Amino acid sequence: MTNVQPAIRGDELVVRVEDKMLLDGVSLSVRGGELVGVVGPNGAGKTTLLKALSGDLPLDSGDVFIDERPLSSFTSRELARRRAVMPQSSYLPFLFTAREVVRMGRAPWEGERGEREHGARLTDYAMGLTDTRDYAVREYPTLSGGEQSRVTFARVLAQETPILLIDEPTAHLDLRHQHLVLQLAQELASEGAAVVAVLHDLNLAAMYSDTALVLHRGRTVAYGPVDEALEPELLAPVFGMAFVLQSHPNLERPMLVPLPASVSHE
Amino acid sequence: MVTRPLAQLRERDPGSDEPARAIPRLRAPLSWGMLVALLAVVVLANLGLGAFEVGVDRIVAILLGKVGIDIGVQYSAAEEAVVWAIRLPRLLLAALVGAGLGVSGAALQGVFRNPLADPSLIGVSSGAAFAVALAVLLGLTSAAVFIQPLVAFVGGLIFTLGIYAFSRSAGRVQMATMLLVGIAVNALLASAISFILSLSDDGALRDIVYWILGSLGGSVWEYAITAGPLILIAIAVLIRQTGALNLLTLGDAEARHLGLKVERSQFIIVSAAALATGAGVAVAGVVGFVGLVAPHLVRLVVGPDHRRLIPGSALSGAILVLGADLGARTIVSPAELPLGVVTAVIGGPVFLYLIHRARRSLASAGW
Repeated sequence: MTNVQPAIRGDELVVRVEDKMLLDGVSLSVRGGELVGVVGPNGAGKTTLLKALSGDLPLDSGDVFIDERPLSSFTSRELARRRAVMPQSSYLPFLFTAREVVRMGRAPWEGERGEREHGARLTDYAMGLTDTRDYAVREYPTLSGGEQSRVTFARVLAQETPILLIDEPTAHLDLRHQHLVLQLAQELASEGAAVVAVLHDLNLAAMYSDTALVLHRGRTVAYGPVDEALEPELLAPVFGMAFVLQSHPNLERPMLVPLPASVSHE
Repeated sequence: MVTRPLAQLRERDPGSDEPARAIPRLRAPLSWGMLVALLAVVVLANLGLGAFEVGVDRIVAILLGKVGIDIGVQYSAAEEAVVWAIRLPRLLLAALVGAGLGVSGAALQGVFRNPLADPSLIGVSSGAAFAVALAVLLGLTSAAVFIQPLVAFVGGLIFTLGIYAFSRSAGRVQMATMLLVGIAVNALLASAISFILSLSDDGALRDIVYWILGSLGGSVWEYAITAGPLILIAIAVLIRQTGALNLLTLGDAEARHLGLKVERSQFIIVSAAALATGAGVAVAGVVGFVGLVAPHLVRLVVGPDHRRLIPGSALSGAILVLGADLGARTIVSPAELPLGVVTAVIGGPVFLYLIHRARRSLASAGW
């Protein structure tokens, strides 16, 4: 990519809650066209990092920049046109339909010329991409967890931003939809989007990210191209388990096969 | 130049963006027509029925006569006095109080993301009741018609702002915290009111209880003219916040990510709801259940979108209070039932029915 300037950058981010360090000096820099997979065990600080990047959490030190401008210099609307955030789960107390929810993703563009038609078209397009069109008129709270999650992803897509921060987009999804969602994220990256995705599954991260950021207890353990960052020796102490590194049979991507404790001790 | 990756993806791979099927519940004209027709019926019933009955033709003739149009129907001076000086101000007040309560309820359910929220949760009704009870105990209210409403109004707003301020931390108001603070303050105020009642003599006791139970019996044009504009302003403000309310139902963080100035919207919404409720409580006393039930009834016909829900709740709130006041006036005529008792008698069962009906969707919504 020719885009040298990072679209979103976190510089030495520190988040402390009482005396617990949730994030201890984590830095990352994401260009347009790049998909960064954030991995790590439970409590490593993945979601905290995403919240810090999206401005949801007050930072104890460090700064977040979007297009090299500090986050605080943006109005909320400007920011909403630059970056979209997908939460881990989205609870809705009222019976909005799936399509109404996706349409809310267009809120930052309201008032623009031609937004009525464009917004409606993009809403339907985003639902098509995420395979949610079939329940466009079903009420969101009545959908299954995986269906809700894809509707939320569609809402985030409909926001039409060049930066996407997505927190475990694959959490409740079946296998096909896990790949569908990450494939979409990858395609958007290839169109110039900067994507930060928190992922639980190391192999999904290995298959779809350009860059991996491995977090452990709020600190960066490894940060770099997936085939360098996802090293079994590095990951073993982080996840408390051993891995064998293989290569995906059809893609030039690493695959990490976990070894159960009984095998790795032999 | 801002990159728009989704638009580029769509150019390369148009896929399918033909419109999805229409949302079935949007039989809008029918449901709006129904609400307006219902409102017209209760309005005419309120003007015509009571100890002294006036026919529909005469009501129309009296009203048109006031703006200088003679439709050739004869009416007596007594009929004119009953309709114009007694029933019309009371009707307007009932409609305004109901609309204010309905809209406040809908807005607060949205901002608290809680379908069980109600205007009383933000302390405005109990704060007003406490202020009135205290004023009666101290003998401060007998002076003029306006003292009691003013005491109620100011008392209600002070408690709402107090609850709001107490729930604020680090520049953000946690709505879940505010809900809990509201419950705690309501409980405190309820016991404070009971304590005041225990100290009061018979006359003061009657005054306070009568006021707390709610009544439009004292309606005069002056009340409609002072409380009315406040309620209408609050409703207008909330109508401007309907887009914000929709986003807020997704959650505070989500709304912020979608470009909403969340704290500002929350403050405006809570203040406007307190204003509408406070002005209503000031002239009518505590009228329960309307703010809770009116939005739920409208959601059944127009759905949860606040752009329709807020105006709809104004209509259904007005209809409910008009209906309840008609009952309060006529059931034990010539005596009157307390309005708050009638709204609770209607509202309670209606709410139970709604819960029964919605059990499955409530369960799936996590309730």
